[in-house]
Amino acid sequence: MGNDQFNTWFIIVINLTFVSLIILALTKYGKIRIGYKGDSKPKFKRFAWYAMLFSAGIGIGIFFYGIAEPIYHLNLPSALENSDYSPLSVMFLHWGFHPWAIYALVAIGIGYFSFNKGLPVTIRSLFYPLIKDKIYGIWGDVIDTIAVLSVLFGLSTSLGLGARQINAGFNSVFNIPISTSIQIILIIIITFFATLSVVSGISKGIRILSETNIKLSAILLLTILILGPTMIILKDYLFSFFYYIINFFKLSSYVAEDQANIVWQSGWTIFYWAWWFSWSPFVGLFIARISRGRTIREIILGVTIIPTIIITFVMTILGSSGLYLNDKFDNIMTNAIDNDISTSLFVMINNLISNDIVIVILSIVALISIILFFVTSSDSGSLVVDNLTSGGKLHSPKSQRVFWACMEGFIAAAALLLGGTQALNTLQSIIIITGLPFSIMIISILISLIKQFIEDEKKGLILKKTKIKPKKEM
Amino acid sequence: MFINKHKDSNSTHELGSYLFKESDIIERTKETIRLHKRNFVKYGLDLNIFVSVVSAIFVLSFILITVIFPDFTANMFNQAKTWVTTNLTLGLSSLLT
Repeated sequence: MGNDQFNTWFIIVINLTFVSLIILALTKYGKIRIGYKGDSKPKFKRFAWYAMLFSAGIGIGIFFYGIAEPIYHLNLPSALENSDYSPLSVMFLHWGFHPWAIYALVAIGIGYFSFNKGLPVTIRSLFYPLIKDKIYGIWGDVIDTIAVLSVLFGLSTSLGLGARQINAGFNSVFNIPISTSIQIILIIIITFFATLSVVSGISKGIRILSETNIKLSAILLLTILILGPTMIILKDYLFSFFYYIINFFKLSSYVAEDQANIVWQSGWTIFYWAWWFSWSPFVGLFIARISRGRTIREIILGVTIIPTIIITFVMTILGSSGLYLNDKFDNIMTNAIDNDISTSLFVMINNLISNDIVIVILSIVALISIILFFVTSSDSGSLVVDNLTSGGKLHSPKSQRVFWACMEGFIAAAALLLGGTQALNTLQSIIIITGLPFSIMIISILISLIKQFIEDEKKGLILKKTKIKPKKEM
Repeated sequence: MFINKHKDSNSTHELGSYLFKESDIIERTKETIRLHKRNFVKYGLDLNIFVSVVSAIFVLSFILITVIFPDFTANMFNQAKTWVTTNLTLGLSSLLT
């Protein structure tokens, strides 16, 4: 094996996860349904399920990086730059099948071990086949503590990015200055609403807000698609997605060798892989909770393929519009992003649309949408942290959820206190550091799950259902 | 009584194309209940002491240190990030060479 093939830990783990999941979906184990008695049908309808997947998942990042990322990728490492569609294809790599595969793996693991086998609804249960009853002792506690810290810091980073962008939106619409103190006030206000949502639970607050958020975001994006360079966006999507698929293994196994490209890869690909790893206990546990009654195959296909198709299209609407404006108005988006990346969405809306009233309406819709993504990420994150800190109880006292929702807000506020670029760098550093322990855990989870399926079948705990033919009456 | 218990533990329940033996689930659920019994349940709380306390200490320490020593925190995280990205990008390559 040459060192140019697999020389990055994160790249090995994420590719292994994706390939293993696809194989799992194709095997007979894909037919296993997640749940226990009474879970023969999914608890949530498809729209609510997808709405919660997106809102808890990577929603808040779409608006933050959607426009800026392809512009940054205009200068890609030469190995990745083969066509005009490379910037969008590389963005698809970061937001496509791989992150969702990680979430699906953690969700299936927690779902199977907790709901099918009666283990606690926490990350420690994923290690049962490896350390057996030690999951109930100190080892299990340590695993759950790492998961809690991973969730809190990973989530707070996204909330920090969200607060910066909301501030940029208020600046664009209402001329409110961009400053750290405003961002901290925003975090306090929005955390308050997230707390109300998390107290009301999944079926009420979280589901309703997620559905509303998806509808609002759809209105915003469709308006940009219709009023923006529609044909360019559609063409870019088709060609970039095609390029992403045919170059899938080349893009996903690329390992930078010289210093300049290593810096690029660390800042983008590795940053994203670490971000998704650090979010995996949170999103995975949340998906497991909302996916009872669905088969493993349905979860793998539903969580990896559909979100990838939708998110890549959404990112193309934003990214392609940004690239179009950049060409048309002499690097206007590049300058805006260099100045402050969080303003990119609002700069784009201001320049893409000529009617002032439509600009204000769209900016407000964008602002509400980002706020709702903030709230839905924070509330579902607090619910998961509450799960983990109560030893995997599904129904624990609501006061605890309030405490963890506040902690998320405090961490984000503390990181933002560092100010400007330093705050953004620190937030990104936190993501990479918290992603590391979980990337190691992901490999263990993969081994654990495979081991458990094989063991269960050998012990006869999973039995193939056979149809009994009715006897013919003589 | 024994017969009923025995009967229950050997029964199965249907999920998708598979049937699951309940004896395994019941055994694991007992352990889970034992884990939950270790929780601190007072003053409207229901917490696993170790996970909650250690996590809270980490989080509060981060918040305090960041507020009191912002430059130190920023440097510390940047150095840690550099270590992770450098060692896990270059370190593994030398291992595999």
